[in-house]
Amino acid sequence: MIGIERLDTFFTILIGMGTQPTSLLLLFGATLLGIIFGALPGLTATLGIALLTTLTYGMGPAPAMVALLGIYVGGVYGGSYSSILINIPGTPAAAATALEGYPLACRGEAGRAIGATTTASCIGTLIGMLFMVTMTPIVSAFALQFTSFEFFLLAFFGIIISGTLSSSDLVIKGWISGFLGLFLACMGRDPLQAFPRFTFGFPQLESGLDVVAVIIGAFGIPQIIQVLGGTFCAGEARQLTKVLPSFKLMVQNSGNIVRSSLIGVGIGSVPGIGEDVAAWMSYGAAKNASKQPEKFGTGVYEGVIATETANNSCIGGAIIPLLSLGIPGSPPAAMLLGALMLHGVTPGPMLSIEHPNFILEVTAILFLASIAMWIIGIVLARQVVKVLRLPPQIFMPIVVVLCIIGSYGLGLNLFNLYVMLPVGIVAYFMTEMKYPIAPLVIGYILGPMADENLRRALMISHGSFLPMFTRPVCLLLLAVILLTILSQMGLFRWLRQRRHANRQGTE
Amino acid sequence: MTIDRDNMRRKDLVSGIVLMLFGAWVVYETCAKVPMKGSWGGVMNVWYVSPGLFPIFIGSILFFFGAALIAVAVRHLGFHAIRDEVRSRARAVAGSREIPEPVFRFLAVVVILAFYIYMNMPRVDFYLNSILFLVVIIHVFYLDELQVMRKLFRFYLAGSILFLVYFASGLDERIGGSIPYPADLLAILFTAVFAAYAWNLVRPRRDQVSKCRQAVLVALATPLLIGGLFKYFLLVPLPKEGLVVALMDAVYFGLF
Amino acid sequence: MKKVLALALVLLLMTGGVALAQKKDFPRRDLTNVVVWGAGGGTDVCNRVISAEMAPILGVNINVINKPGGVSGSLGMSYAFSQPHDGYTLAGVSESCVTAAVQGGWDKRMNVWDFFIVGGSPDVISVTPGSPWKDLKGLVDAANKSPGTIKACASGAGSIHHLNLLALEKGSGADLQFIPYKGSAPCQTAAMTGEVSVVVTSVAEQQQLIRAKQLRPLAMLIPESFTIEGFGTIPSGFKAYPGLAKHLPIYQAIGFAVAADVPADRKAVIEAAFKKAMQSEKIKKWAKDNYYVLSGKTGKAARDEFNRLESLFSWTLWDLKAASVDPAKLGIPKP
Repeated sequence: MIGIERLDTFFTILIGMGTQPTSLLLLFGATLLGIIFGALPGLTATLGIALLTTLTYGMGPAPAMVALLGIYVGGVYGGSYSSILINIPGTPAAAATALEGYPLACRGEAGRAIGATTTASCIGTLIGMLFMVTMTPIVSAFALQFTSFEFFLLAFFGIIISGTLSSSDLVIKGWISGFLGLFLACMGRDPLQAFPRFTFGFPQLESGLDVVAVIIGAFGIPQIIQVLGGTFCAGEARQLTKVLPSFKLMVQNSGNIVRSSLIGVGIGSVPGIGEDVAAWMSYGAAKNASKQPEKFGTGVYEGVIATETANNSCIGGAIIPLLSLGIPGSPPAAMLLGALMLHGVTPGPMLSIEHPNFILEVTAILFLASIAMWIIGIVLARQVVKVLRLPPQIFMPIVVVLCIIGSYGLGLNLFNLYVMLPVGIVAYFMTEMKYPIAPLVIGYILGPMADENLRRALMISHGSFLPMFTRPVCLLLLAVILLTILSQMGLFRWLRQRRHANRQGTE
Repeated sequence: MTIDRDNMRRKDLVSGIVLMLFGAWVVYETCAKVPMKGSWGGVMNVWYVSPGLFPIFIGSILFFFGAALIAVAVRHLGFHAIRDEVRSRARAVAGSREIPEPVFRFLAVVVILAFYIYMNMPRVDFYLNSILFLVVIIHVFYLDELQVMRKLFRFYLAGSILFLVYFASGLDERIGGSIPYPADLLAILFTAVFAAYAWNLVRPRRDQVSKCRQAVLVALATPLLIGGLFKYFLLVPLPKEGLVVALMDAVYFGLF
Repeated sequence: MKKVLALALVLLLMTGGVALAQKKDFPRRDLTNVVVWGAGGGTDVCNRVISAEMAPILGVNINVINKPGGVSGSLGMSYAFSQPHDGYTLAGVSESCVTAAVQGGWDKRMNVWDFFIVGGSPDVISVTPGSPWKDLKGLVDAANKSPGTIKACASGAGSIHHLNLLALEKGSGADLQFIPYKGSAPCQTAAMTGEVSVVVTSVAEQQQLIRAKQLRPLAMLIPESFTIEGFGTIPSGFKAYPGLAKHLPIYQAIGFAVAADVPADRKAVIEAAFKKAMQSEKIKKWAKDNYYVLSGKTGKAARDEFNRLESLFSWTLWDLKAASVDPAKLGIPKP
């Protein structure tokens, strides 16, 4: 698929960049900045790229790309820190990581967890990059298979997945939480006809709720209340023995890693959805494929590895349609598109003709960035875990201030803050009543996609569902959805049996 | 185990009722306001294109799930048990004087956050507001003694209600005409008085006093660091730029 | 300890004050450009470029921030307008912002601003390469034969591309089925997947696809033809349908604005910097690379342009029942 010549050019570029001290310095600096951006709740990779776009205005396109991709890779990875350490995801992409990462931190294994996610992120980025350099035409063609019906089914699948993340209590509670998320997503002007729904006349609600405000509200506020309320464990910092994950752990998870990166690249390449969905889907897939699905939620390495591999491999996936079709595959990629145009590079089908080496350059930068991220990550892991030694009653209030200024800074909107607290209080009560919060967030993220695309698809087919059964990708998605539901039915039966047995045991 | 599950079913009963009401409200709200046909925004509406399709679906499902929760709970607990429970709860609420500790802690966090965000964020300089918030919340929870906690919280509540009256009465704008940044100055005063009050409460005990010192130091340093980073490095304007921001701006642009 | 702190505070205040008094009149500190659309979009990139070019001329930085949300950028505009009218706050706006008032986003007309228009990219109507229509006439004839069945997409209801599509329909008599998308990119993607067959977006957004023969342009929606390097010339639709001249052209107008009551001397400083920046090689090259047509309008010319856009957009939306506030009530004249 790729000629020897291309590979040769690739290594020439790679070595050229790898031996240039200034570009290396820039790379490490940008990646570190990205990690910080990702790790602070409320700051996202998108905002980081936006900031660097302005700062790199004066540079040439090549060093600008180094800085931008560095912050992109770092930002997507950095979100895992706050997820693992304090159970407040720094970015939507890292929300799934908190599910397994935080219980690990509670067991005192924060350092090892970060080591595992760092390695997984690095491998994920590299696999995404591999796809980018070898399979761009195929992945682009795949991305073009997605019409409104496929988008709807994909969103629907994501919501179904939330069922598999259901709570320790009744299964139905996961679904309720998901539907509440869908309701939150309805607020604002509807995407097709701009009709205001549930806005109660507030102009602030017209554009809907901000995703970061919802995520920080839903995950952050309950965590703050619980820690300060003294009813919940805060992560523990034990003396670290080892941050580097054992070779054995990685080998055991090789299947998991491959599956997760495939999901990441696939989801990343589909326009409009990105790292967050990829992470959730691969988490669900890992749980379904696992031999011990019941252990998920209590801190298993499989979980964090799945989510972090997927969200980082998503980068490569998202860059493919960006460069080959000019369609950004995820929100940070959209910002990247803007930045590229600022530097006179318009991505699209003509890119490979006008700038023949550009894709290879991007690949080389991604390669170096993931290495830089891995090195910084392993060094940082030891240090960041130390924040857990601060007394939580001091640490948590600082986190509050960070969350607040972060989610304000995203849209400069006080209303985001006003939304955060009520969402958080509802989420706190839901947590207390054993409703899982994760489905709420998935429902919120995927709701508009399901809504908009179903209606548009029906508009195009004049109300007929027939196209859903004639298009190949649709059929594939339908099959996967059916399988997931059936496996849940199995789980249902199994749960019922177990509950029955339990009751007989206690009575 | 069974007690735990009983308890959970009791809570489910409540959340089930709330969900049913909520679902019904969503359906009603949608039917009343969203057009189901006719042209809107240049698109001909048919039922499957209507913006109301999705909310009605969500509302009905939530209603149905709420009903299911109630059904499970009633089947699990039995109808009579629930009736007795409601009666005894009502009596317990009427009889209790002091709020139990977990509820108190929850209320304290929420109330302090609410004043920080809703009342002060748009009106008081970001630095001063954050310093006030940190001083209060760290003192209340870090000293970690129920009696001290209650006293401090009551003190804070009283002060904040005064602030509320001050803002609601429009006094802020009136004074603001003659004296610059009156709310900011009041916030400084309140912060100082609160810290002094807390210090006075625990004065005889050395370990608690050192905690107070830590609290004040963290409270002063954090907003300066975080806010400075956002304003001058990330170029994000702060929610309310009052006294301290004006000061910092003057210094920053005087220097550079 | 406390005394020292207080003393330090007073000293800081004084140095600050003295430093301020010594510098030139305007601008003394950084300007902030509040872009009312999201990061990475056309308005955002355009404002970042012009701000970066103006900054060295003004001698201070121009910080570009994004405040999207509300309807038609209403949140960003309200925010920028609520800042002191001292010339330090710019609002990065585009033509679509003119509908904020009729959509209930805010209660002011566009005449509270003074505009500095950088330019925009003209709209073009294209079809998928597999479709049978070779020119605009072929498409319109086909649409007349079976009205309302050919699927045409444009970004959301009330956007500039939607208005261009509507104007085309009115001017040529064609009846197409409008399918809304969230923005031009998903719309063009939908054309590539074959979901829709007609696309109306700007040349800037389409040029890559046109040159790669993924889309076949039929006509420009402006009176002039347009040449794309490496492809050829796209004829103007006005030739085949002179009736279009009644409804078109509707140009994009991307740029920034300041509150109209900013002191005239400060506006003059900004205007001078803007004019100089518009002449720079970098802007010219950027415009050429990205298929923008530069405008450079300021003052009365820019105000007139926005007034025209406001009346056109507002009344069209009102007629489509997509507006919630009667433009007559806002005092917006009919086009």
